Amino acid sequence: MSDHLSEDQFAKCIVGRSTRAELQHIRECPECSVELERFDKTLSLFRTAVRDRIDDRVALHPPDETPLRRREAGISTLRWAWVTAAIVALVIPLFMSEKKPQKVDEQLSTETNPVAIMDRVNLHLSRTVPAPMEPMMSLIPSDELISTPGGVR
Amino acid sequence: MKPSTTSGFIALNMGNPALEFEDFDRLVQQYRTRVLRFLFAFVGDMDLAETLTQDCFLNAYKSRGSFRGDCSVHTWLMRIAINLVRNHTRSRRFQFWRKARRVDSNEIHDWPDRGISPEDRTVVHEQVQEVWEAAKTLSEKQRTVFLLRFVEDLDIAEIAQSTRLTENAVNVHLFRAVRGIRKRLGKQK
Repeated sequence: MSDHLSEDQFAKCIVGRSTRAELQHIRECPECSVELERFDKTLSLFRTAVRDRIDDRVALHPPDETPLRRREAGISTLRWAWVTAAIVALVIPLFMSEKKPQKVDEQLSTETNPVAIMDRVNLHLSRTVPAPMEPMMSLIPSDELISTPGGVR
Repeated sequence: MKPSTTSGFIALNMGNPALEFEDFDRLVQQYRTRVLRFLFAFVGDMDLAETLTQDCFLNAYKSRGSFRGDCSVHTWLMRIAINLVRNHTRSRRFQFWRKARRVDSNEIHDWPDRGISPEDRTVVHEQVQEVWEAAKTLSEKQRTVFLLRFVEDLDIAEIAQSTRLTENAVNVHLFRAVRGIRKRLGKQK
């Protein structure tokens, strides 16, 4: 051991990792002992000051808004989100239903168009069977369909 | 010489950590002071420390399912607090330092007196301020392990768990922190 503790040895002693030789030196060297005690006291003052400061703060300001209450606030926000989503879900079909009359209006407008009306009439007249019976025609095999004057045999 | 370890909280609830999370309000009451103390010592701003403490418990509540019980609840909370303060100082480094410097002078005058004489109070304030200023010059890891050791009284193993460092690394950072603080205090004498 040299005359006094090195910086590393001093730090080890403060942290509580000193060896027997270092402890022996501290017991025998008044200078190192005083220096160690002074530094340790300074750290203790710092620790006490921080602790007292926080203790006073906690005593004066108890946790009036705990994380759980914030969590509850979060849940209410979630509730609001659900309500908004429900409203949107209800409103969208209303808009959709409002669009349907527009389609009817468009259909009416095509029916008032003379050209469109004539096309529909021609289509109707060119049918071999009445329109309501067309689905039934698909049930009959094509080779059984013989076009003869007088219709289907 | 060795700071006495007051963190005997590891034991009781380690058997069944789920019990601690069952009553989260009680858990907040039990650990709030310790978390707030560390965060205040780190950032030097009481309002910011309060905010980060709230965030710490909120994050803890959200991720309570991932707590495996391989460390104490306190160590786990300190881990969350360290991550929060790290993110904060990294993302808002300049604002943090500017604000910390402004607030420190106010906070330091608010140290409780605890019935000591005015002369002693001045000496205590000076010494506390010196350590405070010296701690601010340390690197992030050095300051973290220094505060966990000398403010929170955690032992090396607990600091290693909180910081996710090895015990050797914790010792190295702690030695450097003590050397840095001592050097800084020596310069001011």
